[in-house]
Amino acid sequence: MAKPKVGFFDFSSCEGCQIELTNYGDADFVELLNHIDIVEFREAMSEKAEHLDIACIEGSFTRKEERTRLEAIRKRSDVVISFGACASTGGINALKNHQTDFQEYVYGKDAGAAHLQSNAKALPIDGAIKVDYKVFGCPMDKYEFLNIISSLLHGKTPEIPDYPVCVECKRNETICRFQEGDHCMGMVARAGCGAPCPEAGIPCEACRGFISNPNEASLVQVLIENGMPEERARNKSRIFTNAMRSDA
Amino acid sequence: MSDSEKRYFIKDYDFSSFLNNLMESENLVGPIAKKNKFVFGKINKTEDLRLDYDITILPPKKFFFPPAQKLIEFDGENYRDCIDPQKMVLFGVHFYDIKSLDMTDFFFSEGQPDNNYLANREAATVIGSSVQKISERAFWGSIGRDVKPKGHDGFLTRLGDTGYVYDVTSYKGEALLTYGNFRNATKEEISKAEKVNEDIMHQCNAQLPFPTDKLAEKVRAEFKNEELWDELAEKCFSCGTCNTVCPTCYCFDVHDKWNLDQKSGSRIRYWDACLTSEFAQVSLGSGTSENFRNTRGERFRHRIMRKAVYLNDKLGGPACVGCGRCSTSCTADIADPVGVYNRIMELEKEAEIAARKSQNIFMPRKAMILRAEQTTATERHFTLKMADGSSVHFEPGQMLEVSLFGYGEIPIGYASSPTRTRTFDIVVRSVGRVSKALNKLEVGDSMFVRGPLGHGFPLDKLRGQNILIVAGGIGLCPTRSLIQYILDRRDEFYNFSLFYGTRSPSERMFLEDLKSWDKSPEIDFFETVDTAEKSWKGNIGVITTLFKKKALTPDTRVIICGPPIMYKFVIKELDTLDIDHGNIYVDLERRMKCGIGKCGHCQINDKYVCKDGPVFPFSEIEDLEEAL
Ligand SMILES: Cc1cc2nc3c(=O)[nH]c(=O)nc-3n(C[C@H](O)[C@H](O)[C@H](O)COP(=O)(O)OP(=O)(O)OC[C@H]3O[C@@H](n4cnc5c(N)ncnc54)[C@H](O)[C@@H]3O)c2cc1C
Ligand code: SF4
Ligand code: SF4
Ligand code: SF4
Ligand code: SF4
Ligand code: SF4
Ligand code: FES
Repeated sequence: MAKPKVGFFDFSSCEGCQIELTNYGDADFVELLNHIDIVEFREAMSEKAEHLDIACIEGSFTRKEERTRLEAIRKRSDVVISFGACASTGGINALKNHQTDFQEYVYGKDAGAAHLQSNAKALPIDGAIKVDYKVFGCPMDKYEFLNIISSLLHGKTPEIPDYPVCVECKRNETICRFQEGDHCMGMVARAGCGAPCPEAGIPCEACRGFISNPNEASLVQVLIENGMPEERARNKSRIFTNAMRSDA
Repeated sequence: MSDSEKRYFIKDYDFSSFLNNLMESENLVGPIAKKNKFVFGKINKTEDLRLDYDITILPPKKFFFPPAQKLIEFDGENYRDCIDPQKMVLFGVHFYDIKSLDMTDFFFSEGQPDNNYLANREAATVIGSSVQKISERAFWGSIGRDVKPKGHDGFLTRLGDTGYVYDVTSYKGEALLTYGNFRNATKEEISKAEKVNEDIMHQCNAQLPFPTDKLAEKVRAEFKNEELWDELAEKCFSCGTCNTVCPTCYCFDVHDKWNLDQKSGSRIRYWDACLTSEFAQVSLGSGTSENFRNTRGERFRHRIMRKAVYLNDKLGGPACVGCGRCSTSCTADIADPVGVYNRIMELEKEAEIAARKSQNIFMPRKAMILRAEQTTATERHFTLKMADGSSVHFEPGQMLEVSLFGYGEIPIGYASSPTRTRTFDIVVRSVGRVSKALNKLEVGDSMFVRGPLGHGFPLDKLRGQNILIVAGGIGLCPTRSLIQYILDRRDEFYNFSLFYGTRSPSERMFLEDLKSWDKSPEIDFFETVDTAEKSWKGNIGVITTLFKKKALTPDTRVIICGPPIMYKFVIKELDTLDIDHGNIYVDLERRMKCGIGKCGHCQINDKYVCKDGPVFPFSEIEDLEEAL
């Protein structure tokens, strides 16, 4: 079997996910290269290819002209993977979605400049084109990415968890944040990361987005019961889930 | 081998050298601190071991059935199993976790034995230890008491600061004796150890509202009550934590993973959780799927059914050991089985109320007299059965209004236990119009009854406790209901004593019962009469003289029923024993007409004896001027 041709593209993002990819450690990264042919990778090379087996897209869809670019990628790729929170859930970029003054807030007097204009809402890639698989996380988890690529190499549908972070957190025998007087969003966040945040003593902020059926009402209620003011409980950690809320 | 030969003693002073020797020669694992919580982990120095732990976050199953366990490693066409048991001594396991290990042993052995678990289990020596501190939400004192801990190799019971009694239950447990300075335990030490382990059973904060044998039946009866399950699961996150932390959950999922070389890899099993939304989902092809437990309520119900109903036949009791881990860990605080069972209990009461609403509250039902016996000159003992054949559901201490048309209606207490269903007993003392008319009735006649009414003895507060019943005169009638109940469910209660006093031998009632209680080892029965002829061989003196005959602990729950004058003297006696007034229950008698809190006859200050009582905690009424 010929090595699949893989391209990497980036949209509105910090490119942290691409950096994470090269963080495998030399040996692992080289091993991966034995199995795939990277033909486009903005961070590493700039070759152009016509047909792609797998297109990996990083970043959100937040400007009009990005739609045309995305459609072109979709057209010449068999499989499209969105990777990282920005691409898969809208991520941090979607924080602007329920605000109107974000331009003034961020750019001050330059707010009106033409090159700074963007859509009212930052959307995940599947807001523009069909996405076959999503690698969640901010940044994405490189081992999960590897697993997905690995599955695709073998023609197997990748297994992406749709249960909450609590499952993994409890397997780690971590003391629950709530039992330390803190709060957490692990109950509605999609697992797959191995729950490193509660393990390190900080709350899960749901950087991998929500599971498919998050109990948002209960989240708000439980946060309030644990001492959070109502307003904050309602808006807690929109940082990674703003585009996934029922009020989005 | 007799029992005492298998029990040893080690002094507190020698304990750390025992641990040191164990640590040097064995892979020692036990409860260790993790911040302010505990986990089972490797013991590297003796201070690591925290036998004073209340509960660990995860149960000990994690050593035998790890959260992620490689089943097979493959490399192209080649594959091998990964069974590689590591020897270990798992130390300091509480009895409820021993019970749960016995359950997982059973699950993994039944049918095709699963050696991935069993080999690890085999390689371990499991040493239990007595509970020194109770976790806040534990309710092991009231669930599955018939299921005894077994399958462990030894058990240490701490006797204060003096040392530990070590109970050897297998050759593996025996082998550890060489590491420490053990000697045979004395009889006294053995009985002290038994008492330590028995006493702790009565000290959980949380208690089940049903006896274990009723649990399965009541929970199952609500299976189709979707509203209930949706209500209970409304806040559920489907996070599976209640499964993940449960010592008796053993479901798993299996995933294959390739290594980086894309040729080799492994097949791994992970703990799974039936509360998560994907658990019962199947793919139907072309991107569609079907979920057999699609709603939160259905998934929540499945877990409760599995713990309380489905596995009981196999296990001889519920598949829940009452550790309370699910209760503590559920962020929404809805997983607590005790809360669920309480809700089911409430439903039963609501249904009863709803049924009553649609009736004329004064309508009695006909009851047939199956037996009528003149027990004393004035008292007649009836056994009754509802004329329509229906069974009667009541609690000991409740009452009913008994009537004869044309004569009237009077309140009478149940004198038999609800554990003996279909029939019930009452005793009527001839005092006036209605009672005299009733006492003329014979077998085959009928009377009319309305009830059960009021609140009886608080069984949920009495279960698992030391009990003393003080009955004076006719006060033995309502308490007989409770006495029979306790004797029928003897293992749900701890020490049980009965003081009975009458004015003279001729007023003694239930003579056959008195004889059998006197002989029974299940009940410490003491009796006295105020005055008697020479022929009377028993005690003479007022009822309070019986307190000299029996040592009572301050945690004893006391039930008093008798003539008003008796209460004051008995309570004075109880005060010298330091018994809390909240643990004293009095059964009050007042003039009553309606029995349902309407007519106002029985009112004491703001309380209605018929509706709020007739049984009250003494602390609730002691300050009411009109009460005693
Ligand atoms: C909770 C409770 C449980 C009782 N259990 C028993 C029992 O198991 N066996 C038994 O023999 N007796 C019991 N009694 C007492 C019994 O109800 C009275 O003996 C009975 O009401 C006397 O009615 P009478 O018509 O025979 O007498 P009367 O003197 O003719 O009574 C007239 C009316 O006064 C009221 N009344 C009179 N005395 C009492 C009383 N002591 N308590 C309540 N109402 C009274 C009744 O409404 C009665 O209809 C109990 C009373 C209460 C409150
Ligand atoms: S998901 Fe996070 S790390 Fe990845 S590109 Fe977006 S902001 Fe950066
Ligand atoms: S710390 Fe967070 S992720 Fe872990 S169990 Fe608690 S709520 Fe769940
Ligand atoms: S624990 Fe939560 S915040 Fe942390 S990596 Fe996982 S999903 Fe992201
Ligand atoms: S009952 Fe509680 S612990 Fe169990 S899945 Fe629901 S929220 Fe999680
Ligand atoms: S259901 Fe809850 S209380 Fe019962 S054994 Fe499991 S974790 Fe413990
Ligand atoms: S008997 Fe009527 S209010 Fe109590």
